[in-house]
Amino acid sequence: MPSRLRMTNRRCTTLLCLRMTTRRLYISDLPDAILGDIVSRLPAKGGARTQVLSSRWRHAWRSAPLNLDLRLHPIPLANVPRVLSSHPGPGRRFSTLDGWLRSPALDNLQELEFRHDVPDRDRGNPNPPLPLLPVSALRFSCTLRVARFWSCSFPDRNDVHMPVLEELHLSHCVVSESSLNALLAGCSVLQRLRLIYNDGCTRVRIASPTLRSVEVGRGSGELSLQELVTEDAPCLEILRHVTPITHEKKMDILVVSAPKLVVLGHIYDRFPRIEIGTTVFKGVHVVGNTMGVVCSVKVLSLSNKSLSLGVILNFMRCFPCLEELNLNTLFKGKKNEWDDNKYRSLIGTGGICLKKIVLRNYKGNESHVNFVRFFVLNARAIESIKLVFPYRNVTKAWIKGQRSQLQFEKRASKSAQLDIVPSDSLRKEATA
Amino acid sequence: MASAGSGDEKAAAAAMITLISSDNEKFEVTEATATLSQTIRHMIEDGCTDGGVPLPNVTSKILARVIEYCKKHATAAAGEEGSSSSFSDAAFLEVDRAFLEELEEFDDAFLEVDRATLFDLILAANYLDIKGLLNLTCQKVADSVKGKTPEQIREMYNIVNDLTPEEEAEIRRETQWAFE
Repeated sequence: MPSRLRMTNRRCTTLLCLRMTTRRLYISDLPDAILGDIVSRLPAKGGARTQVLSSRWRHAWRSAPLNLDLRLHPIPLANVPRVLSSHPGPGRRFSTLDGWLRSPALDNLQELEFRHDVPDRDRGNPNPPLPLLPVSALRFSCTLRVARFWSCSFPDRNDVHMPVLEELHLSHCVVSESSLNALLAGCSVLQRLRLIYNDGCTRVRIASPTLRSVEVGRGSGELSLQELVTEDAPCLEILRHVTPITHEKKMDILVVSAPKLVVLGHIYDRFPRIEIGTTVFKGVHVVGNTMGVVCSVKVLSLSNKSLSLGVILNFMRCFPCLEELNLNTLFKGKKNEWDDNKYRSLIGTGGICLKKIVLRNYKGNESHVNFVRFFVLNARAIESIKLVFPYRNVTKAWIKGQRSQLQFEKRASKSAQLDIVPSDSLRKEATA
Repeated sequence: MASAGSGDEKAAAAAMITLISSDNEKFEVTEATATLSQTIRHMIEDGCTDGGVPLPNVTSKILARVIEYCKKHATAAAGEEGSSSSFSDAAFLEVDRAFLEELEEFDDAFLEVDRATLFDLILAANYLDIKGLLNLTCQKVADSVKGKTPEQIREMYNIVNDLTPEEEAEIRRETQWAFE
């Protein structure tokens, strides 16, 4: 070989060189990253077995990307979850997926979840790009009832029809506007739709005679969802807005027709901008001149950083049949002093038909006490008031003092129940 | 090999870079050959190559082999957009089939080295950031342990097992699927 000729030029002359040429290298001299690279080139089983070579190799397998190429080196299907749970990740190769998806065993598949977990630190980072959903996944279009996709790129196609799909969930995905709108148009019996933190699509249009629940949240990218237009949704009951990844990113929700809408939320001080018929809200504020009412809505969840009775009551006027109000607050709040005259119209006409209030981050200060006392004394139909305080080590005396300040003895609804509870009690409730 | 010579001729007019091994041996190579190494590419971009590029971590013996590899693979890339193109996988696909086969044969022959040299090549490829060479050499090591028992691998590579029996049992329990 030509380069060999070069070697005759000169011999080693320095000690340093002598050391470097005579010192025999062993595999253990390779840096951790290289050992990891070698291990992750082995089939899954062989790679995992190298752990017992020595402590360094054990570490190498655990910190190197997992190689799960089951096409060339099959392991039983039932073992895959065990393999995945025994390795902390990330993965190097999972090339079996397409093959699996084509397997006859999956013919007529009804539920598909495709999840590519991206570490939090890489979320919103376009590099590396998200893996493309294998086109073979679309072979189930005709039989899928539930399809959930996390962190993948959706194929850019406008011809996907899912005639029996009832639930569609896209989270942290990249999907083009035309593909998504075409997909939605091709789901003729869709009931539940969840579009959270996706990218590639700024405007979604919904016209579905079957849709009952929609959940949307804007991601952080420039091409994330900015506008949801519900043109015609005669069965829509639930419309949820999820906290945007970046609070400053706005979203508009336009509801042209959703006569059965019962549950609405979560609405923040400034977002989203919601138009329901002629009524326009920007966050928890009513804007525009024409203030119509939306009688169908019974459950509402709101965040009002600086709790203001005026703002909330004004908002509630638009939802005269509201039965359940879930509130969250952050700061100590406005003074919230009120007199009967100010809200006479509301109180007098029985305008408060609320049955349940939950207020999170209740601090028991003057603002919050005044706010809650309004409902204690005026909400005649109320059945439950739950106040969730953020403190630890609250004494029974404090709770007793709160009940007295709220004038619970003078409550308008005799059957009402007042619970003042710590925040972890809600978590326990949620997990129970 | 004959094909390496054609690379030299082409390079006559091109910019030359001098690489200096740890034992002070100088190697003149074309920029196209040298820039297969991302490390050297960055140095060229930063204008730090006048007076030669010292490579204190690479001996002349290993550097000669590395250059041999780079020359061969740079010739493959030369058909592309000239010396500035990095040798990417995409460039590979454009090269005709016959040459690819030749390249494969070259790689196979190139890897016919003893284990210590192989590790030296890995370290050099890692240090010089030559992706193709690192892939090639790491794959060679991986292939060599495929299908072997832990005992065989330990013996082959002089690996001292410092795990206690308890630790080893724990590993076997945690990843039982691999030992069934």
